[in-house]
Amino acid sequence: MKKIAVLIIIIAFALMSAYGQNDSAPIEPKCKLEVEDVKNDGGTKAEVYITPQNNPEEVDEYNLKIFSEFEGQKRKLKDIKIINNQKRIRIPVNTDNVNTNVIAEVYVQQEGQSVKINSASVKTKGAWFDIKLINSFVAAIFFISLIMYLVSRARKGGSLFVRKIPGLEEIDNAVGRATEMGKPVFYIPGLSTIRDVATIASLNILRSVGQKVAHYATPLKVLNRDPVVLGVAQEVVHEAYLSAGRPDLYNEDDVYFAAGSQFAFASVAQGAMVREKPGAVFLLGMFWAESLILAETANSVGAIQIAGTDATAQIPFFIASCDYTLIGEELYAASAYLSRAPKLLGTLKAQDYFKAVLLAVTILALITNLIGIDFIIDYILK
Amino acid sequence: MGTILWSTFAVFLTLSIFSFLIKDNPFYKFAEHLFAGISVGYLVVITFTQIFIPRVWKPLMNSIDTGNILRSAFLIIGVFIGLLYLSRASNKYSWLSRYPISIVVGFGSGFAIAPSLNARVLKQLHSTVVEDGQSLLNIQKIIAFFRDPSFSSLYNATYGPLLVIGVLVVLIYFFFSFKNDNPVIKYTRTPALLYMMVGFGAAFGYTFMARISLFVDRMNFILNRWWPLIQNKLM
Repeated sequence: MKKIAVLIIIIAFALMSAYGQNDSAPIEPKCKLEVEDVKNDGGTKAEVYITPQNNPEEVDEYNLKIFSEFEGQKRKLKDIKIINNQKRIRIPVNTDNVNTNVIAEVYVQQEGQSVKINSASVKTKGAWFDIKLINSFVAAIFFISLIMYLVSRARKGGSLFVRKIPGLEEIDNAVGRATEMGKPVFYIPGLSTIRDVATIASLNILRSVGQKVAHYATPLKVLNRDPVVLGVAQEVVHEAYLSAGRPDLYNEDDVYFAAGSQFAFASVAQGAMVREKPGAVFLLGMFWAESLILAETANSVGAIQIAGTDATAQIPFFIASCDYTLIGEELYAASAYLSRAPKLLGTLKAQDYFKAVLLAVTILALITNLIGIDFIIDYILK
Repeated sequence: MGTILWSTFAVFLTLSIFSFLIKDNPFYKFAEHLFAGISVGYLVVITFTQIFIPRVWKPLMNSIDTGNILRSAFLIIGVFIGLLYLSRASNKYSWLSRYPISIVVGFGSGFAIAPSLNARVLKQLHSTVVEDGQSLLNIQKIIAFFRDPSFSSLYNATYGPLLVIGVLVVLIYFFFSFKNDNPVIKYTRTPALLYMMVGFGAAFGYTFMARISLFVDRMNFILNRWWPLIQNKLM
């Protein structure tokens, strides 16, 4: 009887262990992989979504590799370890070119080897129109229409009033002072590229300064950091001298490239200021950390300084160390104020009307939001 | 030995630049010219390796290999227009450089319209009305302050309204079409200036501390890295 009982127990154990062995059969690592092209973009973005489909005890992490393939060239973009928390994870992907194949592959470690378990791909496509920016499009059309209307009104001789901007009133005095002292005028149109609005505004002011300087026959030195801005600045100064009737005074070497890097530019500019001791220094455009170095050096050589930038972090330094500072939008308004050209005056007026509309829309949005209507913030100011 | 040499040269350049604080001198001039020269050389190399090779040369070779004539022509025309910029060196043909300049300026100005409007105007105004999905003029927070007055509830109640008022008055400050004695301009001018000066003051302090940290970093390099190196190797 005992023998039978032992036999039954042995059989039961054997069965249980066989069942256990069946339970520990090799786990199949799985995950859901989606690669989607981002809609309404320039055609260089995609999104990869990975959703683990194993328990963390079965597969603790996945290895996601993302490649781009363009004109037969395959390049690895990302190699990420995805910790398995059984949640869907989104990975944004940026490629360099439109119509690029974005390929995602998922690997797991099995017996010390990396094994591919899933892959997916998509081709990025560019959209002509980003529907999410329709509000910007409508605002731009409205703004451009306003500009066209007000420019045509200014051209017909309509009176367009612009209030006094103190810093600009002093440009004449600054140039006059430099002339009386027999010292040159220094002009720095910021350190940014031509794409920066502040640089474009500064180059417009440079024209007015150039005309005044040519009128007084005072030397003008324009220091540049960007090669394209240098070319534009040379053209602007040349035209200013031509329009002032003094093309003979224009020297192309006076509008020069100082240095390509930020602080190298600052060291060259402050060296030039100390050696040439300008009577007036104009620092108008986009500036970064070098703003105080330039302004302090100009101050130390006794130059009258007129500065202006839309870089909020640099305005305090200019206010502290310069004689006059154009704050933010005053820089944009300066060219219209100085030249009184109908085109620029019309643009300035259009800016004001546009701001008035935005002010009204904002107040309306605040009121409607208080009473629970979110139409304006959801569709107009989104 | 090489480490000591280069570290000592770095210290020499640092002190040469700082010597400008006393007055302009040959050491500063040397450091300035070296810095400017290296920055230009570096810019040329970076432009060549990171722009010309990957953006022009490689795509052009690829396009030629794959027989993509349209893309090849597009790249060659682009390079040709870019090369016109070099015509500035000639008095006779310098007018040709106006073409690349006008393309860059035109593209720069046009390209800036949509992003500027979206990021600098519409999104900013959106954040003036709501923040994290909550209205900045939140009546509930004001009621909460009166129910339980404390510094925290006062901050919560006033933060939104102060921000909204600030945006509106500063926006009005930048209207150029009205005379300074216009009542709206006149009465919002001082609060707007106050708001701006508070903001600028904060920015000044923040940036000043960042500059001090740069100075500390240089001093740290001289005193804690270079000087111990000299002591260990030479003394």
